[in-house]
Formats: sequence, structure tokens, C-alpha cells
Amino acid sequence: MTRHITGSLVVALLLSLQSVSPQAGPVPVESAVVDQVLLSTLLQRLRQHDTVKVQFTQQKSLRILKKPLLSTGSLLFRRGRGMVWQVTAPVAATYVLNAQGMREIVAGSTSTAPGAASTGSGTQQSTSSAMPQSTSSAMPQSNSSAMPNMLPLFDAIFAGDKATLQRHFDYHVTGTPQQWHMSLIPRDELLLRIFNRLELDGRDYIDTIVLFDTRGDTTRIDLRDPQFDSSKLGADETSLLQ
Amino acid sequence: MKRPSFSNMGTLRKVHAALALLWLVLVLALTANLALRTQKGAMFESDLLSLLPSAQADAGVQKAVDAVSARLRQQVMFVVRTQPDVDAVVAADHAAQLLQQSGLFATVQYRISATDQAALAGAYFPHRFGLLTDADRATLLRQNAAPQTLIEPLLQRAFQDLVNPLMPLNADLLLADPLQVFMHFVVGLAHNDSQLRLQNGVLQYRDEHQHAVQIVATLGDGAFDIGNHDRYSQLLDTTRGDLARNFGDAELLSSGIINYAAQASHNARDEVSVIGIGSTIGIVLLMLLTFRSLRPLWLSLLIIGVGLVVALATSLLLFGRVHVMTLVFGASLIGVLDYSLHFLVENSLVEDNSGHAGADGWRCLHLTWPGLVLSMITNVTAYLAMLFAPFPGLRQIAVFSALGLSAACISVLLWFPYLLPRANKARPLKAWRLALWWLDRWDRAPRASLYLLPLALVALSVWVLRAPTDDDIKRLQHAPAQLVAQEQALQALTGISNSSQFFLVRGESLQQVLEREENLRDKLDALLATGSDALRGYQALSRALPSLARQRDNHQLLLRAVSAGDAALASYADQAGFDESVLRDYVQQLQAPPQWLRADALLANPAFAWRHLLLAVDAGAGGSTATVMLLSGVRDLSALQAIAAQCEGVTLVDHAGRVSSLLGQYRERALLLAAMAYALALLGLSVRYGMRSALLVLCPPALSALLALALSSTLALPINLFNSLALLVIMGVGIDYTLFFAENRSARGATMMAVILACLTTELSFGLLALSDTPVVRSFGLTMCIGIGCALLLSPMAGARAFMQQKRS
Repeated sequence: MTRHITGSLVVALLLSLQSVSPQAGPVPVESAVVDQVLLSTLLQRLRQHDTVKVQFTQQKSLRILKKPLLSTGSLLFRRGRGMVWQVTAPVAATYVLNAQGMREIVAGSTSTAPGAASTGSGTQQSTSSAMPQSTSSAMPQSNSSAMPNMLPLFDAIFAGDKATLQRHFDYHVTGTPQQWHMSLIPRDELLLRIFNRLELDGRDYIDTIVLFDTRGDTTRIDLRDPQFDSSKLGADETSLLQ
Repeated sequence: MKRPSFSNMGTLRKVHAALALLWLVLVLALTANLALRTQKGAMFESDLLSLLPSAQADAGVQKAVDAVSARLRQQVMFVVRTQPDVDAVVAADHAAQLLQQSGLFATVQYRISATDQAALAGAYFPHRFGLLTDADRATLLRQNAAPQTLIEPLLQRAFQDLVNPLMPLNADLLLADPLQVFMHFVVGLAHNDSQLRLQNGVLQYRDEHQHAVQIVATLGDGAFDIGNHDRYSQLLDTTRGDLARNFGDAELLSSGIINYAAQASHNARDEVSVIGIGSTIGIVLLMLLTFRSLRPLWLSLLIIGVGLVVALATSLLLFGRVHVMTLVFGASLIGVLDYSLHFLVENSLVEDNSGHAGADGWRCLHLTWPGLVLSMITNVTAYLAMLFAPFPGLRQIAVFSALGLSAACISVLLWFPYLLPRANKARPLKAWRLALWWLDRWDRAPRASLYLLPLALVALSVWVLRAPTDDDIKRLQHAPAQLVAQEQALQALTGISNSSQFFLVRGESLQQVLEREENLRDKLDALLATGSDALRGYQALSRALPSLARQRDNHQLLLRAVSAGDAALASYADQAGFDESVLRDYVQQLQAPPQWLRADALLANPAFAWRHLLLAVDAGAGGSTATVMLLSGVRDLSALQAIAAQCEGVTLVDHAGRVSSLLGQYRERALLLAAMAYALALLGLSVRYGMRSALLVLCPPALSALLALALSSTLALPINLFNSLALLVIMGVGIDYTLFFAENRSARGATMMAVILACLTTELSFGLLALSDTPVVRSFGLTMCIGIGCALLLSPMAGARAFMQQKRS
């Protein structure tokens, strides 16, 4: 082995922990014939827009939490560029996700430390004093190679590109163009170890994404108020994806 | 002085005959030996690193350098890169299969075993309470914070991670590590500059322009043999062709020392054949035109052959393998025909004023042997003077050349009398007149021009001493632009640079070495925290394997902060909505006596990716264990040096820098040596010829050498060790020319002709060296070319009538 492969350690960590507990294997998609007409319609609809901005509410339901953990904000998706997640509550934070991985945007400057300090950004809602500057600059730089990149997952959902979807998922579509449901199972071994199933529900646009982790815990993301007009977007938001 | 005569049969003839026979037997034996050796293969090597000296004064440091470079040598990294719409993983499958099948590699790896990785993470997990990133340690070590607030930044970060939609935290992970301190430790282990990430068990990178997959390979034994270089280059060519055809212009990038070695051997072979064929054709033409007879031609070729065979066979016996650079220089031996030329000229040309029409072999021997022996001694001495520099490559070249020259000279002395029984009656060339005209110029030169000589010597010396110098080994080597570009592309993707700069940390035990590393890292991190750009990053074993002392300390820090910060902890639990048990269980586990992470368990894991930092070498006096900390993006070596000086057991190693400074030292010594050699030669020659003639013998080579160095340092490379060494060789060759003029004043015409021929053949070979792709060889060739040309033009100065008259009158 060489030093080149250390990047996979976090994943390995996840794997090792999961193997401690009995694993709920991936749920196979019933080998139903995919409704190609419905699928094309839905993908066509998603493909119309190169840019979309949507408000989200995330509900993390873990068995060790007394009540689901809520967070809200907006997400901006630009085809081929990546996405910006702006969390406004309970703590303000901005994350950029692109092919290079995830990075946190701290107070106008970029930092490639997602899990690192929330120093300098809008930390009014957080509980404690700011960290000394010297500490935060030396925080671990956990970027693309260390963390599994979730971009393919969102790319496949938002881009409406059938090839991307097929590359990353086995899928299954039911319903009508006005009220549809899609079930996705990651093909990527790595994503599969984190989320073994995704459920999407929608009408005109995607309404809800539910991610099922391997222990059956869920993360539910509700989307509302999609905006497709990129001219209405703030310049600094879009500039993050240049 | 009375010379022993070979002209009549006698004891001397018998001894000569016996020696000639003995020499024949020896040459035949060496030829047979060489033929046998050819069957075995593996005769040549082309790794430029093997030309470099053991540059480190400290044996332990040198061992470390050797171990690190041996590892680097074996490693080759490939990236298969396709258009974004083509799956690079499939292309990499294909490429890896071709590489594997070639048998050139010990391992070809691009799929990563999830089991091994999980086992590694599993090996860390039970010991998580003693594992902290340097940054988290710094947080817990804050001097100005109240004990109850020490933990707060970590809790704040944990909460932010918890609500981050992009952070795939699950219940198991949170239960085991609710503050995510351990997760950050694991994240911190990863190589941060890499763009590649693991997907489907393959390290890959994808953006709108490309899809790239990494393959890492280690070379098998013998990969650095010349024969395998061809196979390696062909393998890369066919693999590239295959990929381009089948996977829509897919590319194969590669980086590794083998690429440079293969390129160097390819260039060297091209150069050997250009020099070999070029100078052979030139010599054939020259011989035929001059002597108008076949015999001198085949005799010349015989001498070249004997010289090469003896040099190659003996070098192989001495060194085991011969470097291709030696062959490049060695090929130039073809031109060093001086010995046979003097003999052949005496044998064939009519001396116009004395009227004698050539001489038979024995008379030629009688006329030429003192000059031949003297010039062989000066030449061989000049080459052997190169032995003083501890550069293995240079030594080999010196020995090779000295052997070839001696063999050529001995063959001429012992065999030519038998091979040239009669004088050659061919009529001389018209060009002959030109030689005589040039001689005449010197004989009629105004005596006043003598006083120009010291002036010219001083002026040229000043020019040479003030000329720019450059000893950087990186610039002296040849790095083809296309290989460098690949290396840079790979570096951008993987963030790994093959730097020869590192810290060597030594101690009596692994634990002590790890503690010393940690001490060093604390200082480096403190420097980096000030925003210094002295260094971009480093790889250290102790980051992945903290010492027991550091683990204990980490545990104490964490325990103290958690115990004092129970209010903050409660507030975090409340905010996150954890079950009460989550943090309570965590604190309980933290309070229990931890199990420490042991080195052996980790080192035994095949997925442990830092083992290469631990050197399995005896690190010399006072230490039995050593590690290296590899550095990247070094900007300020002196700042690092200052830190190393403060840390016990730590040495900063800058191998390329050390080699370059050594090259500089030896450049100075080479110039000094040349000056001393000239002084010694002057002393010796003045005994034989008197001071004035000795000066006239030495001035032409000295002036030529200085002029050559001055011009070539202006036109090509600045002065370095290699073109400085040319001074010695020019002296050897130049004295050759003047010696014959000084020795043989009656037949100056024949001497001039022989010297012109000798010069032309030498120019043919060294001149061709000036076309080399390798800057070092080029600058050596150019210097030789200029120097020898000048030496020819100036050589009639020795024994010129114009300068001798005063002595006679």
C-alpha cells in the first residue's frame, strides 16, 4: 500500500463502525419495469433549468435523538458547477459542494474545512465564544479526499440527466407526472454504505427527498418555493460556483 | 639522448615479440570475456541517480537518503484520464491488465480493498480517547481560556457538523464519538492536497473536462536494466495506443524515476550511435583520403576496437555494470587515434625537405615511441585525475577512458611494427600544403608575440574566474519537457511531490523517535500558524501513530476539558436533542483507563499507509530507529534548518542541495587541480627541455583550455564541475600535440600532419558530444571542441623556429 490512498479512511471508519452492528442490507428495488414514459417526462422537466434555488427544511431523525433535529436554509444548484447550501438555522453556515469536494465558506473567504470552526461566520446563534484565530487556521482540512463526496447523489437528482442517474443509481418510478414517486439505490459502493436508499416525492418539482441510512435512520429534506430564474439570484451566491 | 634501437634483431626484439604475443592473448581473453558477459545481459544502467556521490558526511543520514531514494526509484504512479463521457475506470481496468501482464511490475494496484481499510479504521477505533488532531490539541491547550470553556469550540463544531446536510453522520458514529473528535482525527490523517477520492473502491477524480483514475505500481527487480527500459517504453507506448484507440483519446500519464531513466538510456543509445557512426564514417573518409591505402584504415579501426573492447570488458569486471553516460563519453574514444596516427604518418608520408619516403614499422617505432609513451602517460594522468571527485559516474568515465587510451597505445607500440612491414608510398594530399603553410606562419612569427602569451594567459584566467557558475544538479540533468509536464499534472491531481528534502528523526526506540517527531511537529505547526510559507506540508509517522506519551497527554487534555465543561456539554446535548445516555456513556468511557494504540498492531496492517516513513535501517551512532518526515512545498530551508537545530535527534536533509554544493566544491577543486597539474607538468618538462621550451609546450594547451572554458561558459552552461574537468582532458590532448613538435623538430611537417589528423578525429567525436541532449554532456563536448581546435592551431608554437633562435644563437 502506498500513501496515496489515505483518502478513503473516513469511509473505512464508517464501514468499520457499521460492521459492529447488524447491518440492514440494501433494499432491492422490485424488478418492476421502469415506467420509461413517466421517467422521461420527469427528467425532461428537471432538465429545463440550468439553475434552481429552493428553500429547504432538513429533518434528521436518528434513534439517539429525542426529537428530530431541524435545520433550514436554501440550496442553489447549477448544472455542471455544483451547489451552494446556505444553512440559516440553527447555526448559519454556507457550504459549497462541487467536483473538488465540499468546502465551507467563512465570512467571505473560503476555507476548505467543512467541519472546522464556525468562527468568523454568523455565529450569533451558537452557544459559545469565538475560537482564537490561530486555532481555527490550523484546523484539520477535511476536503474531498477525506470525505465521501455527495455531489454525484445530488447531481443525479437535480440535473435530470438520465445517464448520470443510471451511472449512480438503480431506480424505480411510480405515479403520474402530477404526483410521482422515485426510489433510488446507489450503485456507488461508498454512497451505499452511507445511504442505502433514497425516496423522492414530487409534483411539479421535487417536494421531498428522504435518505435512509444503513441503520434505518432517516434524513428528510423538504423543498419548497423553487426559483428557476437565475437573474434573481444574488451575485455573491452565484459567484461561489464560478 | 640515445634511443634503444629496434632496427636489428636482438634481445629487445625478442622481448618485444613476447610482449606483443602476451598482449594479443590478453586482448583475446578480454574479448571472450566480454562475449560471455553479453550473453548474461544486464551490462548497462542508466539511472542518473547512480552517477551521484554519497553526498552525506553522516553515514546514518546517507543510509536514510539511500533508503528513501530506493523506495522512490521503485515507485511509478499512473493516471488514466479520459473525456468526461468515457468511463476511466474501464480504461484503467484495461491499462492495469496490460501493465500487470508485462511482468515488469511487482505490484499494480488501483482497486482498494474495503476490508483492509475497514480493518485499519477498526484498529484505531478502540483507542480513540487518546487520539486528537494537532488543531484540537491546540484548542484544548489554550492558555487564556477558563477551564470550563476549553471544550466549547469543539462542541460548537460538533453541532455544526450535526446540522450540516452534507455531513453523513449516522447514529453509530455519533454514539461512539458524540464530540466528533475522533472523526476529525481520522479526517486529518488523509492526504489533504489530493483531488482524488475513493469511489467504488477506486481513487478517481471527475470534473467537466475529465475523468481520471489513479494506478500505483511498484517495479520488479531489474527494471532499471537497459533491456527492460525498452520493454518499459514499449509497454507505455502500446498501452497509450490501446487507450487512445479504444477509449476515445484516453491518456496515460505517468510519473516516476524510471521514466527519466528510460528516457536517458534512449537518448544515450541514440547519442552513442550518432557519435559512433558519425565519427566512424568521418574517420574512414579521413584515412582513405590521407593515406590512399586500405591498410591504415583497417589498422585504425582495429585500434579503436581494441581500445573499446579492453575498456568495456575491464570496466565491467571492475564495476559490475557500466553506465550509459560512460558509453557516451567512451564512444568518443573512437576519435582518440593519436597514437596510431603518428605511427601511420611516419609510415607513409614523404617529408618534403629531408626527402625520406616513409619508414617501415620498426623505424616508425624507433621514431615515435618516446612521444607515444610520454603522451599516453599525460593523457592517462589527466583522466585519472578525475578520480579525485567522489562521483561514481565520473570515476567510471575516467577509468574507462584511461583504459581505452592505454590499450590503444600499447597495441600501436606492440603490434604495428608487425602490421606495417613496409613503408607506404602513397602520394600526400594537397591539404598537406596547408599544414606546411600554417607551420611556416609560426616559424616566421615575430618574436615580440612571445610577450603576448603571459598577457593572454592572465586575461583568460581572469575571464574564467569571473565567469558565472552554476552547480544546481537539477539544471545539469536533462529533464524532457513532456515528462516534467506529466509530473506536474499528476502532482496537481495527487498533491504529492517527489521532493528530496526531508527531516530525518533518530532515536534509541520507536517511542523516542515518535516523541521527537511530535516535538518537531509542535514547532513546525507553531511556525505555520504564524502564516509562514516556509513549508506547505509534511507527512509524519507520528501523525498517524502518536507516541504513548502523546496519547496519554491527549487523553488527559480531553478528560480535563470534558470534566470542567459539563455545563457546556449539557447545553450541547440539549441543543442537539441527544438522549441523556449518549453523553453520559461517553464521559464514562472517557474516564475509564484507556487502551493505548500500539505501534505493532498498526504497522502490521496492510492498509497502514505510513509505513514507508519508518526506515528499517541502522541509523548509526546513538540511534537504532529512524523515521523520515517528507516535506512538500519547501520555500525557506533556513527556517526549517533553524527548527531542526533546536530539536534533539533531528537532521534536515536536502539531498539535491547537498549534491549541488558538493558539485560546487569539486568544481573549485577541479580548477585548482588543473592549475596544479599544469605547474607540475611545467616542472617536469623544464627538466627535459629547459624552461623556455617547456613553457612553449604548455602554453598552447593552457591557453586553449582557458579560452574553451571562457567561451563555453558564455555560450552554453555556466561553469560547472563537468566543463571544468574538460580543462584536464584538454591539457592531456593538447600536450600530446605539442610534445611531438618538441620531440621531433626535424620532421615538423609530418608531425603537423599527424596532429591535424589526430585533432580532426578527436573533433569528430567530442564535437558530436556537443549535440547531446544532456546539458552536462553538451557543455563538456563544446568545451572540448573549442579547446582541442585551439590546441591544434597553437601547437606549432612548441619548437617553432621563431621562438627557438635565441637559444641557438
